[in-house]
Amino acid sequence: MFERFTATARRTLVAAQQEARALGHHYLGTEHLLLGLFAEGGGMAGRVLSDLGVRAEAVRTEIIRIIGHAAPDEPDADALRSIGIDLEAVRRRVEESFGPGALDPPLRGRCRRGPFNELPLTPRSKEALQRAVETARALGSDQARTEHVLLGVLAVDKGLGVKILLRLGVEPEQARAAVAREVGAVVPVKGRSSRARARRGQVRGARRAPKWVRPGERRCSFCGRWGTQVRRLIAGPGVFICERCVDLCNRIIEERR
Amino acid sequence: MDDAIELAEQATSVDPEVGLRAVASLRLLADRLEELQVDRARALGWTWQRIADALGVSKQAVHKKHRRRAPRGRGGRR
Repeated sequence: MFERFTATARRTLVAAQQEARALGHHYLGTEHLLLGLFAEGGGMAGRVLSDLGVRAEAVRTEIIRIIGHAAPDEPDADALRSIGIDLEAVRRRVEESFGPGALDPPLRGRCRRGPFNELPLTPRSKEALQRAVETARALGSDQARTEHVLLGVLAVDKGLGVKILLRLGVEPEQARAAVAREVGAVVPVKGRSSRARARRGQVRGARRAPKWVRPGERRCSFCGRWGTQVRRLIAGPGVFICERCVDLCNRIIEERR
Repeated sequence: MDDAIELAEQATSVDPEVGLRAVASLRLLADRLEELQVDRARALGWTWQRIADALGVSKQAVHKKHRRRAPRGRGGRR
């Protein structure tokens, strides 16, 4: 999926992950995507949002207000000191016997995450990223840029990303117009309906792609490559998988065995 | 100086906010240490039963909690 984003856009996605982790969230939602757009060197989207008066700190505060912090996955040194435990001393002793970094939180539940240990996308953030790629394509760009990611987030009305912007006094329409001004192009307000995309074999949920879609209209549900870009595309109920992803899956299973 | 710190600590530990955070942190720390020790024990070829005895829980409980992470070392069967 990530090869369809520019380096800068990818950086904002990585930043989104870090923000989600820092909040102790175990998933990547549209709210995190929005927050990621403020990352250092975050490109046009960050600039557009700043110009609209949206601050990263305000977005973060809203997320915490709505969702809250999840339980931290690292011990709190100050809290431990209050009951007489010196976390640094414990860390030193543990590292003496188990090696450096032994006390760092383990990568939990890796299997449930993607192959690169990224947090799982929520259905809405997945849709936002799909919209980003589609919008990029509609605007004649192979790879999605940060502004396309923003447009993708804006396209998911029910997502927390849009809700937070609204709470901060920014209408999606306003943000879309701001992007259009920067890009100097008319931005499609809405992509195709999900039903239309399902018909074209761009699978969402369990909506079955009909059998008559041509290979060029089917894509791997995992990496997003089109049927014409892969050697083999295997169909399941509502999903497809290409031979590369099957290999990757096998490698992961083998490694974790 | 030390007295001042001690007093401050006593004061804060009465605060449930800090006390509860300390408990949560302690649990995280204990869990992490348990993982490290279980991993090492398994790498040394310990059986689940022996680990369970040391931890004071049933071998089923230990196995359920740790089997995903800790295959037995030294060519032990999996």
